[in-house]
Amino acid sequence: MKINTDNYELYFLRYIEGRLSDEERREVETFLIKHPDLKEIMDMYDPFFTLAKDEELVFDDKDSLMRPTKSSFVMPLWVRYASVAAVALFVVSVGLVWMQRQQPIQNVLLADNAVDIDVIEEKYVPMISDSTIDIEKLEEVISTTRNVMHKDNQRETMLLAQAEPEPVEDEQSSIEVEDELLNVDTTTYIYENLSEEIYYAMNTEENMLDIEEETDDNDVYLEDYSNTLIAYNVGRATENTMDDVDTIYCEYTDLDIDEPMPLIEQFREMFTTLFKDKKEKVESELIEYADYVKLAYQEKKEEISMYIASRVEKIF
Amino acid sequence: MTDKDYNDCVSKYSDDVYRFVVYSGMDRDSAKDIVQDAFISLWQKHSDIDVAKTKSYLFSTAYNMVNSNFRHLKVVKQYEENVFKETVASMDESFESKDCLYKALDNIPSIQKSALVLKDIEGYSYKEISAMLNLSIQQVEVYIFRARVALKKELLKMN
Repeated sequence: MKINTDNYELYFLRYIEGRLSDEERREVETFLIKHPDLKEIMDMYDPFFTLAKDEELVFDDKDSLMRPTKSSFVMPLWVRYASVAAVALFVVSVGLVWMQRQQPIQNVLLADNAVDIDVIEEKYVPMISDSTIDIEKLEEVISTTRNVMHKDNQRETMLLAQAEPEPVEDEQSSIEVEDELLNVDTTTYIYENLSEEIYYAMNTEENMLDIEEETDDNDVYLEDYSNTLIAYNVGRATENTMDDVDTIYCEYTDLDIDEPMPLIEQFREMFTTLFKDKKEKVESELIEYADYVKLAYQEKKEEISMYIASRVEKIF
Repeated sequence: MTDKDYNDCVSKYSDDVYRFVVYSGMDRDSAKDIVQDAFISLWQKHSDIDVAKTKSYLFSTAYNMVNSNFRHLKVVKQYEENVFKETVASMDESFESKDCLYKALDNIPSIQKSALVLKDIEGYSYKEISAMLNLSIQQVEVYIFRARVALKKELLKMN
């Protein structure tokens, strides 16, 4: 099937998404020269112009759809209110009892002839004359009490400080950590090397047996495929993207998508084996790649964006 | 599918299906009705449906309901245009397309919107969308291409 005025949209989409063979791409380009009016339509298509999810748009009547499950017990509304009231009543009761118990102590402290003050505050307060209160002595008592309490507080603070771990990050250490991260080689080499490694592993003579003769196009496909696999395994592409790629692959190689796909399974398996050893490294590289490179390697930003855009995100 | 599976589906997917229906052009009250009907339909067939396929079943059912609703609205609208023109005007206003995006989406054919929402928001593959909307993969690709171009044109027009 060749591009014509009835099917050009399909070709435009695949052209932009990089899913055409070299020959087909040339056909599209020739077609555009003949039909400059359709070039405008093609230019209007932007694969990155996508709909965003409106998070505020939610179905707020989920309860009406729910079914009562056998194991679950739905508590009637009045029981819930009663439970809350019972808890509140309990709290108030406990509070009242506690306050009543505090009352005699306060009374003793307030009384002029507070004989048992030493018993109540034995820990801090020295003995006081039981009949009269000397102001000077009282001040001394207050001062002593404050000192003792202050020391106790200090001791508590020290104990707490011992119990809690020392804060690890001071200014110096955080800079060191950041430097460590920034020193990681964030160029695309590892990513590319891994990609190539997988690509060559997949592109062996044995694996190519079931593929049609168009080797050049297969090369391009396999490269994209390996990149997508990487992207998928580091969380930059979804399962759906992988399915898309599988579908395109099947269309390309005339395999039936609904039939078992030993070749694709083999690819995925091979990738998993290859990726297993390097997963951690690639993941950390890519995380730093995304998070730190923008700041630390401004001059490489364009290169990185282009690389990701061309290799991975165009498949979305 | 057990009661619990079904309830999990309600928790996980009702927002997505509702959003899909609103994006497809229904007003919010009708969208709620459609979501409820889709879940009722799911429950009626719960013994036959694989849990893994419930989400696509819900989208597919909702899509068919949206389509039949639009067909119904079209008949009503034609009738009202002939008899009560003023009523039609107020009916149009009831469509809650307040912001530009919703307005732009309103001017795009329903099938294109549905395909685009499933691709962009739900992240389905062309193949999955083709199964849900009962179209070929090529048709889905063309609809998504047209929808994206049309949406951009509409938004540019508004700006």
